[in-house]
Amino acid sequence: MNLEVFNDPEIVKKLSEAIKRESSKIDRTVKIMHICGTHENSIVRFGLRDLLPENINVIAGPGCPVCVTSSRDIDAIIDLALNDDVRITTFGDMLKVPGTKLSFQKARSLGADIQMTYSIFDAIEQARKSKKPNIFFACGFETTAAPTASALIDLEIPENFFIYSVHKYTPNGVYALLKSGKINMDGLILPGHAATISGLKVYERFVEDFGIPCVSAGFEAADILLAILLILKQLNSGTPKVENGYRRVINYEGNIRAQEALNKVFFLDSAIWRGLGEIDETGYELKDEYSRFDAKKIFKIKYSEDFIEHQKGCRCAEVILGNVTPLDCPLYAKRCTPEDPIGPCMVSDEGTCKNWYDGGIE
Amino acid sequence: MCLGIAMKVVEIYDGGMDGVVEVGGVKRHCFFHMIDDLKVGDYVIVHAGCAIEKIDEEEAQENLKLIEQCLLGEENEP
Repeated sequence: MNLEVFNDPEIVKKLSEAIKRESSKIDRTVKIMHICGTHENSIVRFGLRDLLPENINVIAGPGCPVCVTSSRDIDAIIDLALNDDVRITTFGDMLKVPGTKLSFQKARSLGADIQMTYSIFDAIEQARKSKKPNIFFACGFETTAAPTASALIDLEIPENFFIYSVHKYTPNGVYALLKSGKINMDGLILPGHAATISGLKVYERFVEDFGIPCVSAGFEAADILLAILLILKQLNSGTPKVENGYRRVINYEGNIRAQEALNKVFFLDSAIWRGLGEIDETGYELKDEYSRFDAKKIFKIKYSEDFIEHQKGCRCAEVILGNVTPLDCPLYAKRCTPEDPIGPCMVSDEGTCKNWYDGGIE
Repeated sequence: MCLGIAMKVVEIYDGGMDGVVEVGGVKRHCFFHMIDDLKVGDYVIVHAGCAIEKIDEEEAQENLKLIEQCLLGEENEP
């Protein structure tokens, strides 16, 4: 299957010219938000902002699950790892994320058993080979929550395997942030892979309640430019709607099998989004039928209410909301670097600061 | 973290629950429990060791048509 065509320079050029024509009909700045760290990665990698007219401002919104994982959860798991004979497994992206005092990596140097894993399947294998209780610190949006749910349903799980879920559901989070006025945009690029699971129907209320054009996009240069073009066309015709710009992967209804697995294993509870506060019905928590895997119920987890989400000077919370760019942060690329990150956005490959830093934007 | 890679299914184990996917000569084990009716030769998006959706060849063509239509509409404008 030839997918390279979605990076064809000729198509990319034509799309950017079409965007210029469409944008010239609008005499104000148009703010288009995406909510996926992998989109930001593509935008920086392909240099797409350089192809856009001055009045089209594409900004990164809350699209990095690692970045919105609260220090409260990180601190609690580190405390458990330092004081109990347990092993924590988690994705590589999580290891360097600072908690209030320590990151997982720093806790490891103090003797905590914290291991990196590539997937829940690897984490289960690691548990099988271990004599200790293994707790999988399960981070990620619905894209990652769905494999977690499927694994618990379909696989034989060793008795020493547990889950600490910090999985979050994107559509409700973004909707709540929009409703509270914390974020705003003229158009929304829907996250390609999260929406593969959730489908696009759940985004119709963004159109109905706020009149915002919503277009899903894949991750090649032409995919993202197409979404921008479709949003501009919707704005110019005054007909906002949900459109699927990533039809080769996304079904409008989403992946039904994945949704069934999610509904069977999890319910949605309120969850703390780092620096943004508590948001209702965004945290995937294990249902009673799966409570034997739930580390939050099995282990005595101590939560401190003195947790600090962002150190002084760090502007990650505003970067996550798309209200400032990394360049507006006094710490960016100076005291805060991927080697020694101060804020979570500089850690994950989906963090805006990390993407900009790796892209040489200073 | 929602990184997904388009990979070709090269092997499906008994029961269809898992198998092997490949891209650029690199082969990885992959779970297929979220996908129905998968065949060897199909392309899937792989995220964290799990196929999250099949890539639909016909829809890929539709995807291209959508781009072409957008551009065509543009070029026909005065």
